[in-house]
Amino acid sequence: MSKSRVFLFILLSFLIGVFVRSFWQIGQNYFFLLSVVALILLFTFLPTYRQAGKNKFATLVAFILFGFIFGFWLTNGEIAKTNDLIFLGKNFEENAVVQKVSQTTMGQNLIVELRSESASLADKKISVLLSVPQYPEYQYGDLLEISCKAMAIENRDESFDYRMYMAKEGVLYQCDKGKAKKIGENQGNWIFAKILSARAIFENKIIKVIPAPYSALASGLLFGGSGGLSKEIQKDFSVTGMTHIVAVSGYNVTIVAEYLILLGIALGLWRKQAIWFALVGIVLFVVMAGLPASAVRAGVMSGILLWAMKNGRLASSENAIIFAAAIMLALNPLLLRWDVGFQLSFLATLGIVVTSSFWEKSFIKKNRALGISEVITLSLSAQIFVLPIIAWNFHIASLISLLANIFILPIIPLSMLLVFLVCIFGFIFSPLSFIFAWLAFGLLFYEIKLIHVLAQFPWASVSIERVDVWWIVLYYCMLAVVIYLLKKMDDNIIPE
Amino acid sequence: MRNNRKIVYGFLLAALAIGVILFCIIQNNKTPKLEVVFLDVGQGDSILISEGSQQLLIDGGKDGKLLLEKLGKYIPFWDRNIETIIETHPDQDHIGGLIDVLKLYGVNSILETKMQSDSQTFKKLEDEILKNKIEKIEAKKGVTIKFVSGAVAEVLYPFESVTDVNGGDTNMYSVVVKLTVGDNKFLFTGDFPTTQENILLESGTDVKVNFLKVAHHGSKYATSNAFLDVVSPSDAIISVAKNNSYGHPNQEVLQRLLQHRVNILRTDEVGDIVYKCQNLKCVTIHLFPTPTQPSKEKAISEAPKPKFLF
Repeated sequence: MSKSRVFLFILLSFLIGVFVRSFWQIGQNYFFLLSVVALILLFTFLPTYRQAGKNKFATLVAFILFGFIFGFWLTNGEIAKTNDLIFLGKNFEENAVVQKVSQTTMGQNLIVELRSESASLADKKISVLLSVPQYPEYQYGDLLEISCKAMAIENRDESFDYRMYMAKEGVLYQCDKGKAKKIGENQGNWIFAKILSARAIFENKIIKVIPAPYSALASGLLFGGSGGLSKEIQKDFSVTGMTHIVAVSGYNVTIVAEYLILLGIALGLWRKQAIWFALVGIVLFVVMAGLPASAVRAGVMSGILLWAMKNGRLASSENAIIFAAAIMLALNPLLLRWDVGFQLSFLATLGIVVTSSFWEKSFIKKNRALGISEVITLSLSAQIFVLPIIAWNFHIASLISLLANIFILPIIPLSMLLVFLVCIFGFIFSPLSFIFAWLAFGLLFYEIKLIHVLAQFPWASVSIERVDVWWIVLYYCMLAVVIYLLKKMDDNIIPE
Repeated sequence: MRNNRKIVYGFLLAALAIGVILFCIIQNNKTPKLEVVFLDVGQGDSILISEGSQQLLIDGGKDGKLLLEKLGKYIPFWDRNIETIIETHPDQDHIGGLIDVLKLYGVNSILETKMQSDSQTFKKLEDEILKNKIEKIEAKKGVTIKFVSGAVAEVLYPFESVTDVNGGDTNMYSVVVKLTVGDNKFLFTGDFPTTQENILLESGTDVKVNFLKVAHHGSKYATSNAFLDVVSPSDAIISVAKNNSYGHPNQEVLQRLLQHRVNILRTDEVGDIVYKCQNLKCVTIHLFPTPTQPSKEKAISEAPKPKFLF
């Protein structure tokens, strides 16, 4: 067994450890027993590791067990932390700095970090969710004087685990009837504040010349986020499985990257140069999205993919992707179950990688002339890999998704380019910005209208009430078997 | 060589697209039609009067995002200007959406009374008016807005400057606007209460119109029988949200309207309500005899007991 294979197995067992603890609790005795077995195996067989055969296998098993135990233990600790609400019921009368603002239908949701002088809080980083009215508006870095009673975060409806969603970001408390008063600003990270304000200026250039809701789609395409779209339109997007075009996830970033490569080649670059071009594009994209952790993770995932493409090793870059996922989970194991963005990023990139050689051989070579076959296969493999995740998180399975993707994805990069030009000329020469806005409007109009029309089809999507986690496990096991068989077929074909 | 050709084609295509767009703009400006749209903005009021590239917006509902989407639908996409905004009174459900409009659209002037509100929304609105250097015009009797085709919007109420600017009841000084398009007239009443209706009637102001925006989302403290007797509209429009917590529109008001043989159109039932005006006549595209709404004849015969209505 090759070293890289061994490494892969250990990483996988770590992932499985995180997965198992994310969904199930194992009794402490069993856990202890498992650890002891692993230790015994290790100490018995490690000294004789050099001898081939059973000893080597046993050592390997020990390491795999350790991977599992480590993942399990790490996740267990993080989950325990989220249940350890020591400040419950305490009245916070503190200064706090705004970390994140999101608009809701009722007003604004602020995530604030306490800046406390009192000894009991000073050594801890405490973030609190604060709901305030729509006006006055707050922004990142504002220093507030807050007074509120800390409560546990409530799940507002059963289908969405809001408490864990916030917990994975380190936010364990909410203040419902909190009071906030602004007493200062620019208390946040200077660079991050600059990026956010640059983004706001860019966005303003778009919404000034393109009417809503098309402007919301435009800024969603360029900077990520569907918050600017109304509920009805967001629903259309989710029914047709198109939400990914306005979300910064590995799925989206990878498709953007793929297009940048095609664009680079069309502009006359060599393939390797085009990949560099795309890498730069991804970095810009992630920065413009405001550098949220989710976008960074997405960028890393598709960066690996591009790197592998550049070196012509796309089909064997699973290890790198799983390695990146393992590092992300080691930093925050709660992502695996409670961060949709992470799930989509990881699975979509993995899907693209493991199926690439199959598509390459069976489909693309024969239909090279079509040009869009790459788009279709990319989209298809990503869809197959994220299907249960979407069903699990959003309780919907889009049947029309592939059709919508085929009709809309090919013009996404052009729309993005035009919107980008609208931004740029908004600064230099505004009449030209208007012209580009008209052209962009045409495409954006087509996208929203088509998505709306497709969403009206009676069988556009099926709603799924509740997915049992075992179905998901079964689905991915079957997928793994299919992939394995395909790989085996591939390997058999090569020697001929 | 191949790339050059692509670039040339690209440019030709872009030029063609721009040509088509310009053609559309010119065509649209040549034959301006006046449109009155009662926007479905949930529990709140917003009415857009649009003729070619000239717009008048009366109130803005409470949700900016929703209002902007609606405006994007009815204002041509190249037009980023709303010439005039009328703020009938500073209540959340009438001004909430206007803040985003001021941020994104060019607005020449805003008509409002001197009425104040201590809500944060009102403060923000006033800030935005100052920041964008929008001309403030005091809304009182005699202020008119003229459209190119000759249509005129005229403020009927308040008669004088509001003096009780911090008074409790903002509805008391709700701006009332009459729009005259050829032979047809519209009356926009904001949240105008019955007490003020009587004052308006006593003053002898001509309020006889074809189309009435029912005051205060169909609240029972407005739209009295006496008022309806004089106004005698053929259609009444109620801007209201489905299952709102205020119980609007009130059953008594609906009965009063039916007794006066008025067709009722509600934004919570039909969405945006559009009146298109051409050749001095305004018509709506909505059909009245929908399953929940009886036809006019039926309404007359069974008006006293409208059990089939709700």
